[in-house]
Amino acid sequence: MDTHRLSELEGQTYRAVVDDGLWDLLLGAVFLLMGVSGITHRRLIPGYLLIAFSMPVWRYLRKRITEPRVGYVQWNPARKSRMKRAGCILAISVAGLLAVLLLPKFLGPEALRQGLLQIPGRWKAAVLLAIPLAIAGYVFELKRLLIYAAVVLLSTAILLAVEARGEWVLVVSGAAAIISGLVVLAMFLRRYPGQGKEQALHG
Amino acid sequence: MAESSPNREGAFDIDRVIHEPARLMVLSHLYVIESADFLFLMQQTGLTQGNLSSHLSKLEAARYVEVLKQFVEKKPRTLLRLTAEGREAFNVYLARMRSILDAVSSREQAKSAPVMRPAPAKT
Repeated sequence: MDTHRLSELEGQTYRAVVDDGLWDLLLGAVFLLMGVSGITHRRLIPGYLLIAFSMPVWRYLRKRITEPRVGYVQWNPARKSRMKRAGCILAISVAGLLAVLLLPKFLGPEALRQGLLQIPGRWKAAVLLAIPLAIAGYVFELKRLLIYAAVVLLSTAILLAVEARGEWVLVVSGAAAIISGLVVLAMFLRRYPGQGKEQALHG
Repeated sequence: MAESSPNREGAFDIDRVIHEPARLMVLSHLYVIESADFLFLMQQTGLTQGNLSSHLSKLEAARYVEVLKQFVEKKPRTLLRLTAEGREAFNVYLARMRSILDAVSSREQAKSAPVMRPAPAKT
């Protein structure tokens, strides 16, 4: 077993823990709710609240679903610092996205009329969504997020061609993420059925 | 220091505690992470509860693995971690195995290399 194989093993271990489908389900739910809100003109839940609440919900679900099945692991310092860096990059990109979403609210219609703030076009919005997704996919080694970023861009191109509303991009990408999340979660649950309290038995 | 470890014996001077496949698997997993609980190791290695427990006891007796007890939200959590001695012993084991395998493969290559015969003399 050489160093290459050991780093491969570390990667495998990491993927075994993070590949539970919960990321996908939450992301899909946020996209879908935002998209449906836009299409129906009903503010079900504000988008920024959804994004803000998704992290604690994800942590709660991991504690309830993932940890009792896979167990608890503390990553090595290299992985920890890589994840911290990744978190910072992601937080900055999400903050950028939120700023673009919230600025029109604070500046008001006056600012829009005066051209101080340009509402991004569909492509700009799609890129704003796709960039954090692609960054998260790359830094957290979750290839599916890169696929969702591609779905966002592809659905934008298709919806522009058929002249559909921009919110459909969120609905399509959200649905894709939810379907894939459900498949991944089912595979995860099959691979790691509930193990009871073996951990406590050893302790 | 692993160099003076009493666990190493035999012609190849291999650490028998590490050389056992199940223990090698456990140590490999602990080597690439910081620490993990019993359930995590059981899931990743595919060992049964009793099997893993007995191997961990041997690794603990050899001072390669240490058991840490924590309380998280008033619940006990038992974590397993490779000791500095265990990490060193694992590194020595890897180096030793690599050198043995290299020696074997270079001998095999020498055996299978075509023998150069002198060309027959022209008449």
